[in-house]
Amino acid sequence: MRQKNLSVNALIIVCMLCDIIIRPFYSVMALNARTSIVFSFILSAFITIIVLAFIAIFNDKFENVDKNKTICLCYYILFIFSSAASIVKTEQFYRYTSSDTVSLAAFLFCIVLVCVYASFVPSSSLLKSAKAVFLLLIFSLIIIIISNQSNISFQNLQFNLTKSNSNLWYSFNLAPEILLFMYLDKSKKAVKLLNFTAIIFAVFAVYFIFAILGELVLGTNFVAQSQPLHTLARLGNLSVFKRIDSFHTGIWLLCMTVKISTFFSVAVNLLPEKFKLSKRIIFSVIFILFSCGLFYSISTALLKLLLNVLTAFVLALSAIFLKARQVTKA
Amino acid sequence: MKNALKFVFCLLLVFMLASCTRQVGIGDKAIVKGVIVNLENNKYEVSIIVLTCKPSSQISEIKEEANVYTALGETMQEAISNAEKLQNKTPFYAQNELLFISEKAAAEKLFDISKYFLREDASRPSLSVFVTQKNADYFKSSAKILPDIIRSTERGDKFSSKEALKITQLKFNENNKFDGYLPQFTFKDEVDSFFGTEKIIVYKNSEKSFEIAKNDIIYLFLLNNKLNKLQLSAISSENISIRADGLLLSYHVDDNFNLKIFLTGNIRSIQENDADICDKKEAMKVAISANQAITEKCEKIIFDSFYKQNDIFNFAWWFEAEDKTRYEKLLKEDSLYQNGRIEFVSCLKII
Repeated sequence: MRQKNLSVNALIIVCMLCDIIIRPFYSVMALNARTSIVFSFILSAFITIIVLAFIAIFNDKFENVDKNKTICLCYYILFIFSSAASIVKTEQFYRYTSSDTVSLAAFLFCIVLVCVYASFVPSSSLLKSAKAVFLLLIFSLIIIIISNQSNISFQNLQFNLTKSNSNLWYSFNLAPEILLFMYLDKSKKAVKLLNFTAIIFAVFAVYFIFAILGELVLGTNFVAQSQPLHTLARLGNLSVFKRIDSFHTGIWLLCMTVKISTFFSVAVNLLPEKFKLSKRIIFSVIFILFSCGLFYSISTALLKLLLNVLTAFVLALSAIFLKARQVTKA
Repeated sequence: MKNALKFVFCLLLVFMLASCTRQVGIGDKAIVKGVIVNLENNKYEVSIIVLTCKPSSQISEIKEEANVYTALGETMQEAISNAEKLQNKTPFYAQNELLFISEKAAAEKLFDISKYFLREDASRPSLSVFVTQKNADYFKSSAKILPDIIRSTERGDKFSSKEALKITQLKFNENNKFDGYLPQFTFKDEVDSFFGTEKIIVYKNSEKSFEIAKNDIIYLFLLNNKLNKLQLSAISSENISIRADGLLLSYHVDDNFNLKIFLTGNIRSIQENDADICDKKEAMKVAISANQAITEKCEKIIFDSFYKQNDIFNFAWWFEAEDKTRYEKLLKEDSLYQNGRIEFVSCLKII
């Protein structure tokens, strides 16, 4: 049980770190390290308080949440949407980092194939692979720190907070992974509280380290980067090895694949079991391809807003449903 | 059987993804090794240096050839893609390590050029930037020496990596003007069989402020905390040279809000006519004059830069880190850059 808990934690951390490593493509970083760390601290604290309160009040009843059809549908839509949004982002990142790329159709075919395979295998296999990818990701991040050691200059650190606040709200991210965590982690209240705090702390720590490292290495150029961590990966060199970014990119794309397939397979399991698994999968594949098409046509900022609003809505809806159930029972 | 089929399917997928369908062979790629940027009638004139190898059965006969393709454009992007169209191969920028910028382009468009290369994911962010007085025609006519230059960059023998300034290290002020220094690249015909950095040009507000000659470049790197060992010759007399290592700069802002910079390190050897000086008193004398010489040279550079409100070494950072309010007050009063604000002391010791 404890092993499984650790795997769930690793999976959620991998999914959350994907958003830090590969930034959305609509804007450049634009916030210096100090501003973004302060903002991310406030955001992490805010999310932790809300989620901890939610777990403290409703955890014992949370297993009932997938018995209500409306809530199941909301969860399904949210998970498919966030899987599709990740596919769009991964494809953009893949095109950004590679000069020779396969066509969009081939890319979608491969990623959908992985998703379909993921929904056939038991969740324990998914968690095992997440654990392996988690270790690889940690290795990749450590290599980035070591390989950039020679480029560090303390005089690059900025003292002032970034004046323009318009970029601050673009950075707001209410991750759908929160709901994924609630759904996957079946442990008791106290353990779950601890797990979530640990996850948020780990994600914040990684963000903190790389915001500082980015500014130490790139200085004022840090804010002009659309993919700061990828620039660090390109800059770093280990002994005679230069341009080791392809090594990092491979691991990061693997992380994105884990994230996409996890969301997809969890979504497939949310559909009513009276339908055959193959039917559920076919329906989900059509839905995810449709969502991808939709997300390619809207701006990335709007897509992020949509996911934030949807996550907040589903979280609120679950709270209302569970509260109503408590009252009825009483 | 089912597992075998699965395996074959995965293998097929891997082959399909490994660009078997839309392959570009290595021979069909134009490996760009350097980019030259110039300004002509306010338009970008960009040249790409493409290195090709002529195939031969004997390794010793394989010769590298450099081709230079030049084109004009309103923007960097346009000029560079026009230059790419002049040849029929797919350009490949991942090995691009050199960026030569003409003096005019460096003065007027450095911000835009650096922005282009910073955003461009294909090229190396460790691209070394040089200012050059030569134009694209010169590069075309002297394409023969370009493979030598490129090789020496890769080996780092003609100029060390310390001299080469990376594109990510360029810093701009609020008006997007360049405050800093750029090494100037000299070619073979100017000085007998020499190419490399002959001098460094310091810019203030994107205008040429002063130059640092070849022999003094070492002090610039010393002040920029880029050296951990150095070799000095002709100290107290022509034939004396010293070798020091473990160099470290330490900074201290005192109560009067003056920055003291101490250079510490170990003098490993003192030689006269290539023979070690054994006499202790003599060695001490040389060490003292070496410290004096280093202090003088560094103070000269600080005088030309910091005291003229051109903070190329970012000394202001130490004041801001010490006391931000006091720093801002001094900036308002225009007294941060007054004489005596920085004191450089070299304290190299004999081991």
